[in-house]
Amino acid sequence: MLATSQPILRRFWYPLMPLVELEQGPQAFTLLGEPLVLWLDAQGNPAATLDRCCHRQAKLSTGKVIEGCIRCPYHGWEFDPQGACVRVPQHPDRPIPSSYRITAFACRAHYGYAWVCLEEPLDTIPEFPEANDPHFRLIPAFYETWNCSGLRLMENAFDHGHHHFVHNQNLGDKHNPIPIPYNQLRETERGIYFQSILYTYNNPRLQKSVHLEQETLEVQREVEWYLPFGMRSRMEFPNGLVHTVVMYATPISDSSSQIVRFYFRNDAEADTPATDAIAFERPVLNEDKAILEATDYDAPLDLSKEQHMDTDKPGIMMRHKLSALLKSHGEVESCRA
Amino acid sequence: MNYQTDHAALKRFWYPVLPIAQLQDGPKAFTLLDEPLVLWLDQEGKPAATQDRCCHRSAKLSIGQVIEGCIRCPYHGWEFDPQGACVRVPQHPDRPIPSGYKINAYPCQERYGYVWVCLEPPLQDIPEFAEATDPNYRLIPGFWETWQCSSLRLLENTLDIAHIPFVHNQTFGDERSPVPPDYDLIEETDTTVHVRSLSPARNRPLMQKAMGVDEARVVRVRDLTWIMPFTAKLHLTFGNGLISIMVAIASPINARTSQIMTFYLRNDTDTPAEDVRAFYDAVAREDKALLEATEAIDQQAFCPIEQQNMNSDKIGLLMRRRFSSLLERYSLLPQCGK
Repeated sequence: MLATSQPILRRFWYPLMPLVELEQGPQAFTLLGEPLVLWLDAQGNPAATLDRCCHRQAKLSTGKVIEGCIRCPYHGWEFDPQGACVRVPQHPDRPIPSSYRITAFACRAHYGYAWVCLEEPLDTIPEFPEANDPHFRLIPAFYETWNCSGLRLMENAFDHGHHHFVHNQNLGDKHNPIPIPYNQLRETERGIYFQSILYTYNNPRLQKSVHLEQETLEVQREVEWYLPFGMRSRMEFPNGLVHTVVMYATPISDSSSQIVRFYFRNDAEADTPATDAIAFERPVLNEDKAILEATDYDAPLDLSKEQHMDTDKPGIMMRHKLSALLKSHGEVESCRA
Repeated sequence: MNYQTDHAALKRFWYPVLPIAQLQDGPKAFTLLDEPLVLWLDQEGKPAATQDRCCHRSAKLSIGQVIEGCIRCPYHGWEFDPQGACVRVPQHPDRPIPSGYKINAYPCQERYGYVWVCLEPPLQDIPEFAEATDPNYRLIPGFWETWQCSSLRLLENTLDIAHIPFVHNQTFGDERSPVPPDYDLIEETDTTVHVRSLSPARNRPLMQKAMGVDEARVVRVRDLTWIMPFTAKLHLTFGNGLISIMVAIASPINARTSQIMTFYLRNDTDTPAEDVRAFYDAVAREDKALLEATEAIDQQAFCPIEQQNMNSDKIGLLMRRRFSSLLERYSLLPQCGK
């Protein structure tokens, strides 16, 4: 499936950028092939429009924010968060023609990120229970570009079959390649869900993150996937520590994704510095990245195009869900020729 | 050359893709005619070649490992034998492996220190060179490197003697004598062209060392054999009895990129191999600089009438005609542009 050729994917919310990056000035981000400029308005709310001035097409992201509007670097025209031109400095006394405008997109701040939806939203930004629980803190963990498609990434996050091979020293059972079964694996309204016990090798980095010393840990895991490229994984350790991972593979193009990954944890910075919580995952993510960037980004929804085994069930359900989504909106899967 | 249509014919020849020594430390990737391949050594030390994509989740097998002569996928550990059959699914050790779990495998063998691959049933064997098995000759490995030019362009260059005074003016050419000598002999078969000419050369220090001749000018007997599709054998006979042979093969990576492999065959024993390599290498640098500045040969390659030609291009034209008839035989001849 080529993400930029499926218009229905433009109707989902994606996290694009940490809000703190917008405090430095306007930023560019390409979402589903659409070049956007993001900035903070006068109230500190994020705004998103096309990254092209309607006058001579300069990139607004190389301009400046002036009183909550984005100013074009070329002739200084200013646009508000709705995309209307509100100032033409060459003609300060004339009314501004209504056609002086650029396309603006729905944009919201949530969980410390600017989220954008390119068309009429089909879904909402998920409300995670941890977000309103005062026992939990939010830790922004990873924000980086991977050269692989969102479906490959989502499937990887739900796949028990690869831990032994890809993460042998870092995650999963390093002695036994036979995967742990998925419990209560089912479709939900906006994705899929399962629970499982994850037996994982407790390497020194994980010990520093969870403060347990036994060689193997039994982790209670609860995992949700949200159409098309979002997920949440709640992990509860034997000492009561809960470490929830939220990850989006925000689609930049058919072949690249922006990894937006943050945690909720029911401990405090004094217990576990955020850097220790993040450090455990760095090598794990590097291992996944190396493999996923070596896959074909055009991951087929058509099951006959690849071979499958039992542990692929979550990935197969994702393909079914995506196929049904396309079908219900009159789309067919687009593939590379 | 129009690789869209011509791949089908070119896939039916053997090409050297990499020195077999490179497989000692694990699997390697090579792209042949746009086909990404993984190469590795089986349990007997014989080379194997398959597509570089697992049939499960498309991971590149070339970043995996060799386990008991099979290639193991880095993602889920599925193992494939040299015939491309999946022989192990570690997640389900007790179940029979479905026959659909397989990848494309290609004929593969070792020759002249290289791994050779043919993507479709071969039309002919790997080229034989009588001197390679003659005890009076030694084989000196040459270079193995990527050039940004099409394979056909490189072969045409090897067959062309008119460029020598200009392109090779710093190694053995003489730009004061730009008129190329006539061919004394032209022999053809369906898949080869052999020409002979007397080849005057300026004998600069690199060539003096490589050929053991001191005079400032030498005349060599030059026997050049082209073997379809991209092999050239350049056989030089010197007045002192020395025979110095260069075999050069351009394996097509894609329409615009080639992997060049050379080796040398010599009937002497005393010239250090480094001196032989140094001379041929210097000549190759001159060709590379020139060829990487040419356009990739496209459809016009098979329409000689459309190009500007001179007498010395005759041999290149013979080669192109052989190509045309090969493609015609397999109904692959492209339509030439108007």
